[in-house]
Amino acid sequence: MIDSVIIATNLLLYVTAFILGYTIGRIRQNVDGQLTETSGVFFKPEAKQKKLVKIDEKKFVTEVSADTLQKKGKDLGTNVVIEDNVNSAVSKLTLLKKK
Amino acid sequence: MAKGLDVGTSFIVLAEEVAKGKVKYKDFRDAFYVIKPTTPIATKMIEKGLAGKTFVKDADGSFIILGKDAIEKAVERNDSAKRPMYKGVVSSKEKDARRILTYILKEVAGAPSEPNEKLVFCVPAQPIDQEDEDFDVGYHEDVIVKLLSEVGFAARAINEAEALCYSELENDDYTGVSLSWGAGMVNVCVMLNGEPVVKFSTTKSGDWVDRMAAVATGETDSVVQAEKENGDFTIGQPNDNQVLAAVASYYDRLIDYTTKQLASAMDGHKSLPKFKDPLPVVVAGGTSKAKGFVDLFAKKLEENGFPLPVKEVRHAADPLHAVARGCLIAAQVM
Repeated sequence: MIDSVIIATNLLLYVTAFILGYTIGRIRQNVDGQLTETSGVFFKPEAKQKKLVKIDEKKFVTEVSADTLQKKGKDLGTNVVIEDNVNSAVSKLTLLKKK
Repeated sequence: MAKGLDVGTSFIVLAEEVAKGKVKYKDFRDAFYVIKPTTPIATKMIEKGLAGKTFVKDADGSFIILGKDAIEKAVERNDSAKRPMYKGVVSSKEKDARRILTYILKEVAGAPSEPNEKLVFCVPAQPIDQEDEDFDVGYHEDVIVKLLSEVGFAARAINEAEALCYSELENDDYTGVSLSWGAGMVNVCVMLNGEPVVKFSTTKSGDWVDRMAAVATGETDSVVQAEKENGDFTIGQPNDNQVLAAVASYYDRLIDYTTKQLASAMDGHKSLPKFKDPLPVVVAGGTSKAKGFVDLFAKKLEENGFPLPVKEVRHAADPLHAVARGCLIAAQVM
């Protein structure tokens, strides 16, 4: 009778120890996981905040000389004078732009 | 004093007020054609043959014919004239483009009447129908500012269609839509009380019509261009001349394409305000001068679901000079 009580007690002790160990293990795993996650969250914004460094690829305007072109023929283009008062348009637009 | 300069793919136009109520326009056909003589005798003969034409002689002995004379010479030789500009910006296809454009612009703009005279020139908007690394408005603008500054102008760029609004929407409180149909592209601007709210461009216009008609008929682009500008045709109507028949047909397709692009670009555009009144739509540019253009454009706008209310579709008072006039007005307001 006493033997069976001792065996049952030991068994209960082992099972309790196992459950306790398993539970502590799971909790530790979650805590570690959270730490990893936290560190990920911490670095991600830092990566996002990182400024994009771009090189200026806009074409460089080099010197252009037309000095080698020697004028030979007549003048370029044709001229025409038209009766046209642009002053009213200029005044109206100036007023609009000031608003 | 101030000047306005329309730097177009096919025409360069300078506008300046020469007296109160009088504006002088200088038009120049933006084209060149190179003839390289092989012998000294040929040099003399060619030079003699070019008497009365507009041309320059290069350091290597070649002759560069400029303007409409270049197109005439190219047609004479069953060839196509070259352009220093391509689709609204300085051409990267022609290695001489920048040098020749520099010469042309300096000659057309002339010397400033005073140090740092204001000069406003037009530039195209970014196209909505083409992803092209060669299309670089910033570079084009920098090139022109640099060369005009060297001459002594205080030069500034303005969007081509915005300049058209300034020229044509005075009686509409500077509210409406403008389309500049150049050779290389169509530039569009929607304006509200003098402020441009939407600006974009499409990359098919008069040159596309020429190219397609040239392919269809086996002629050169320059021959088609000359036929188109001097011949009699109405868009959408049959023609006995095969070149003009092809041109009329491709015009129809161009207008259909552009109005579809317009409707698609503006439908639900975030920057578009809610206009309380129907808007005037103004068209200008050499491509818009064809017979039947305005009527067909108005019809296609409606058919293809243009999302803004339209009061009227009208031609600019002077379709070839309207952009230069707008640049001049902008230069005087500046």
